[in-house]
Amino acid sequence: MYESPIREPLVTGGRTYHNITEDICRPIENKPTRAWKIGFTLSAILACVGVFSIAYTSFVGIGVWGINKTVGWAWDITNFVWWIGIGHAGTLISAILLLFRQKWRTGVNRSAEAMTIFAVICAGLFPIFHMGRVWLAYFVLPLPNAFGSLWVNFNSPLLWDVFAISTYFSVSLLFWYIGLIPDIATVRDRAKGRAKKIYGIFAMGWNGSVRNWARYELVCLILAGISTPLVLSVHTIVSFDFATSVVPGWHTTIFPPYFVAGAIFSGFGMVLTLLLVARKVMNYQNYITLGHIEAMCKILMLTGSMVGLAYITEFFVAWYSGVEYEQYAFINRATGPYWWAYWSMMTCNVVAPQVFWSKWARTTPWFVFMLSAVVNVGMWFERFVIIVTSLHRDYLPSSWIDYSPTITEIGIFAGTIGIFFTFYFLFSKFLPVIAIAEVKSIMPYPERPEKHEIHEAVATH
Amino acid sequence: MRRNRKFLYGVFNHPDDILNAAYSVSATRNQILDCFTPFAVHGLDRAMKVKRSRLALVAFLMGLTGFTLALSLQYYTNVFDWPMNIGGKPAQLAVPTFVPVCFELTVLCTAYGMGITFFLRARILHGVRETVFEARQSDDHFVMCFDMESKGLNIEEVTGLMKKHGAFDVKQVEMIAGAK
Repeated sequence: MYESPIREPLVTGGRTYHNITEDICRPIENKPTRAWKIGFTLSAILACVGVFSIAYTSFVGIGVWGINKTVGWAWDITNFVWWIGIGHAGTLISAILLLFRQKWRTGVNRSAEAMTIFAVICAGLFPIFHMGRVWLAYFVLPLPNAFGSLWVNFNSPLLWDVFAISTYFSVSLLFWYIGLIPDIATVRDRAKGRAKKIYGIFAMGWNGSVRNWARYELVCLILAGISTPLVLSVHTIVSFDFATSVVPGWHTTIFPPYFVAGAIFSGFGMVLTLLLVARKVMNYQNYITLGHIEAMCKILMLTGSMVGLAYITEFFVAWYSGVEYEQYAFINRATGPYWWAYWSMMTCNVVAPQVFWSKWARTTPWFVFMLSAVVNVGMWFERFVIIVTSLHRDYLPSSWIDYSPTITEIGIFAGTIGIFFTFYFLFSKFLPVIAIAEVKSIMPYPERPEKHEIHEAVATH
Repeated sequence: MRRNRKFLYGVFNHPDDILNAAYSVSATRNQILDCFTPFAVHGLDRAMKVKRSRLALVAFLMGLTGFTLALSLQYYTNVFDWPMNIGGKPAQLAVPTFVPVCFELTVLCTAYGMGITFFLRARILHGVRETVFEARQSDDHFVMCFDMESKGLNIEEVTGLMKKHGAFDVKQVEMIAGAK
């Protein structure tokens, strides 16, 4: 019989089941550290800047942004697509890697899923507040209007987006919460007094019975099975917002796979940024090992190369199509007024991840951290390039115009970063950052080497 | 009616031990009431002869519901009630443009339909009293429990079998059990 080669253990340091519980529950049970307090306060202040900027936009109107008649979509949609993309890594790790039985995902899936939920919250703010009169946001729902039966237009990708993003958020939240229940029960069983009561409410009577574990595993498998096409559909639909238009630079069939690859690329960039810090600060080097970091770097390099291929294909197709509007749009991207955004994108997304061919680069945490930040910046520029440079040179040269953001737009963007990190800090204090039960189920049995006995027992019955 | 019931339970500290014990006990005429483990011990459900869950069927039916809902909503609004005029073409079932919303609602209904059914069936509900024999059953202890009021439970036999397979503690307890 084929026996696969021995792999590096996924949990190092000879941890036992009890050690795992203690290690992961420690931040929840202890008082917050100084680093946590400082980080939380800074994020909360930044989040307040965002709330203020959003409130100012709502009261005064969209005129406080730098957008105009020609560049009608700018930072808002750039940030929306950027945040949605960041969210994709969580679902990729928890769903696609579950289907592929990549067991290393257990160390990172909990925080990546949390990141998905917070990122989608940040993303959702942009289209909603871009509506201007936000109190009419319910117009996107399929409700007949007041004068008869004029409905929403189901032929529009913008409406598909409403369904895609809300489904994505709801399903991710359910997946995350079901995964959390056994771990909340672990925290509950260790806690005393008020904490026991509160965690008891959220654990909803979970006791780890065999029947419930069997159902739980089945539910997680099916959720993974439906989340896999879901995550691909979400960014596909986001790309349809552009691809179904007639704007040169947007109207391309390559957009769906190109956007999905980019989303996973930026998502893993953000996962690495967060986890490299969390691993150091919370002492989780035994659970998020260099092997985990290396695996994620490989995904980063793969998706980065896919994105690079898409950039080159776009350029080639613009030339090959013979459409001069298309050709101009691409020449203008690389050499026009926003050349610096285009070349930042190229450097950060295509050139930078190629360093991960070297094993040293993949396994040196400070270096990976720097690169992950570069990827985040690069992917932001990608969306900016696609959106603003395609719009600012319209079909009519008389309406050509340049765009720059106002302080309010910068405030909203900075604010969403604050909101994201505020949520993440709260999550890391009050919930287990690593999936306790899942990590226990994949760890090696240190104390019992003679586990072959069990296969005989199964065979005889 | 929730009342005090008497249970016999053994505590193990290794998943292989409880799995071996479950196979041995199942081979006798004694019935295991339930096992409580900190993580999913694969094979334990088979050892206890637990029936396969039918949640997958629920998920399929819910998905079908979601798909039908989405298709009828789009047909009713954009074809029947307010025929959408696109370039003067006849309003009809525009299959390609209806695909995304059909897909999303299928997924949404599958996930929530199955999730809610799971919560109800597994009795993971607000206010359910959890059955905790050992606080460490969600940490590193594996509990196998028997209903002492069930007929035909041979206490000495199961105690012996559990001890033989490495149970370091076998106890009797009287308590109100929550979810079975």
